Amino acid sequence: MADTLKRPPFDPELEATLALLGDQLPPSITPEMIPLLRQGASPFDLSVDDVLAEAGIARRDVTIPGHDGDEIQVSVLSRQGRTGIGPGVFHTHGGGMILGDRFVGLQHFLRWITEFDAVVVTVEYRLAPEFPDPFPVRDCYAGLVWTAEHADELGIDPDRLIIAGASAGGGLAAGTAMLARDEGGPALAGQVLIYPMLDDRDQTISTAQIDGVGVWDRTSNITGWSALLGDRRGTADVSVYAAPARATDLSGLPPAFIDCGSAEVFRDEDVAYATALWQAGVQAELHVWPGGFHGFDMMAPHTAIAQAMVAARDSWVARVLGD
Amino acid sequence: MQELVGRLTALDPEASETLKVVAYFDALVAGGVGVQALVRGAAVLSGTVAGASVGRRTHRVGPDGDRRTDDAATDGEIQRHWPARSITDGNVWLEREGPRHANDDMIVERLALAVDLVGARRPGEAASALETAIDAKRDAEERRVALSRLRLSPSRDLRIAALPLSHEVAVDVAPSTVVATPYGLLRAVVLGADEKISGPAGVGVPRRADELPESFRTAVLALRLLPDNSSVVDAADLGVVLAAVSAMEQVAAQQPDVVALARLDARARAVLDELAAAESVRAAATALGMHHSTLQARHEALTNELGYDPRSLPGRARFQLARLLLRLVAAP
Repeated sequence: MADTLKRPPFDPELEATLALLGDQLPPSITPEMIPLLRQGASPFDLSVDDVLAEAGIARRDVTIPGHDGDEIQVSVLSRQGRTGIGPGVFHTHGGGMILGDRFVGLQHFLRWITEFDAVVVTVEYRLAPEFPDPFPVRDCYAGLVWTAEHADELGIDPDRLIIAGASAGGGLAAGTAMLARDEGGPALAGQVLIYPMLDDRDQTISTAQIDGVGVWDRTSNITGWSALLGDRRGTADVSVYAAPARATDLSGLPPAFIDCGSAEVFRDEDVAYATALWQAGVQAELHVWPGGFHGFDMMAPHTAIAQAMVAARDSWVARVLGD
Repeated sequence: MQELVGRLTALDPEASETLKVVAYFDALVAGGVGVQALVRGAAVLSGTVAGASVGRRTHRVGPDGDRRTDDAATDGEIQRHWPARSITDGNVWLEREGPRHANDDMIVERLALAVDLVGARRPGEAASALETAIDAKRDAEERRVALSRLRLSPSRDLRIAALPLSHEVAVDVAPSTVVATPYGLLRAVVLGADEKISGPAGVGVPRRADELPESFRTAVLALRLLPDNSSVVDAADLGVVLAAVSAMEQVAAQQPDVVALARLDARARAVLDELAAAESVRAAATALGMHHSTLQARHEALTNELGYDPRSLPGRARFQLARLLLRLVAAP
């Protein structure tokens, strides 16, 4: 802690939330904690199906070919009784590349289904360290290709298909969008990168600032990237699809929405990615919320700053989906 | 919905979670939020609509953090069965229908306190001026302006007493304010050079009014050194010991003498307190209600365990310092 740089203070409402929930999850996640974290459901959990039923959303699980043709699952989520063709969202969930399932981040896109009439396809990509890079991003890409190929039967207008993900899912969404560009994959109308995890190199000021504090600190981030990349982390042997921050050519990518907090590890890589997109002539909208720790909109959705974050994000999605 | 992180939701309706309620509002007050955020906090913790009317403004917020304007059950009229409290210039309440939850009263209490604090912080209020006058981070000029608002002469010798919030004082007697410190919210009260205060309280060293931050700093330190919940520790009585304790705070937890005391149980520490303070072992035995020879044996055993005799002259100094440092380390 002694070497930690001075960081922007947390927003007071977020600081208060951390004071209550800080003991649920330590700031630093180390590799030996992965099995335990995978077991433990948070005490605040509601079951997915209860949440979906309450929101009037139908769920259909489909087994599809993933990376190398192995079977993976996706869930197709849409408003109950929805007919016809409308916007689509391909979703890649968060969890540091090591945790979570395809319903993590449900609250991010629930309103896109109920209010914008979107069909969401959310993919159960395989997790590191058991399935290291390129499994996660290649599973996601396979899911995107499947979604585009089945757009008609899913009720998705191929011109209004976007990709979205938060945290590790944001990094996977950015990497998947790049794969789609480079391998002649589906055209995307937009990429929603919610506090995305983009850079394995651990060299930003923000990662040095968020060390032993907040949510998903420097140690946790190294744990996640090391699980994904093993000894390759931080070396020249990392693809741009695994760590999109390394890409030098961002031209031809879909318009991007990027948001993050000013007090999180990903701040600097997220701001740099938005800047690089603009420099490559790609449209991007960037929001850095002052005093926000990682994932604050999920942990403290009642706060003024979380509501502002969600409103800005939903506004972008509404514009891109043509709602 | 298996999340990487939990989500802040309403507290358990059955189990009392006082510490969480206090921690939440303390953090908000320390962060300098407005009334709206305080009401939002009460709503999310209680899981029901919370409200505050301050002067002519009414704030109502639902547990999802949304402002409520339309579905007012009443026109700002507080139902008799709702948990509610009056504040300086209005009321706060929870719109709880059905049985009360375990934390409702605590939430309303802390909301009331916090809304009053936020109100008192408005420039021009006496509490705000005192907060400035004892704040080491303000420059001398700002503090002088605050003193003149408090009608205190900069050259007058004063002391600050630090009190836990639970200790109700007659606040109209002397200027007082509530301050967020690393040790939670504390009440700071201005005391004249000879004024007395009842415990629990820590009293700071006397200082010219324009040097009150030092009196407040030593008052907080003294409060943290309280041996029990009713006494008063006066920093001026501690002299160089206070300076030593203050200088050693950062390394206190690693001091072997402090660690040795921490390992003992409360009863053994009480025995040591008496042994170190009493005129004789016999007098200590009487005070502790123990047989003289039993205490004698206990004294020898404890001397062995500590590696020094707390009744010898150097041992007493060693014990007293370690004992005070342990209080700093052990306090939350």
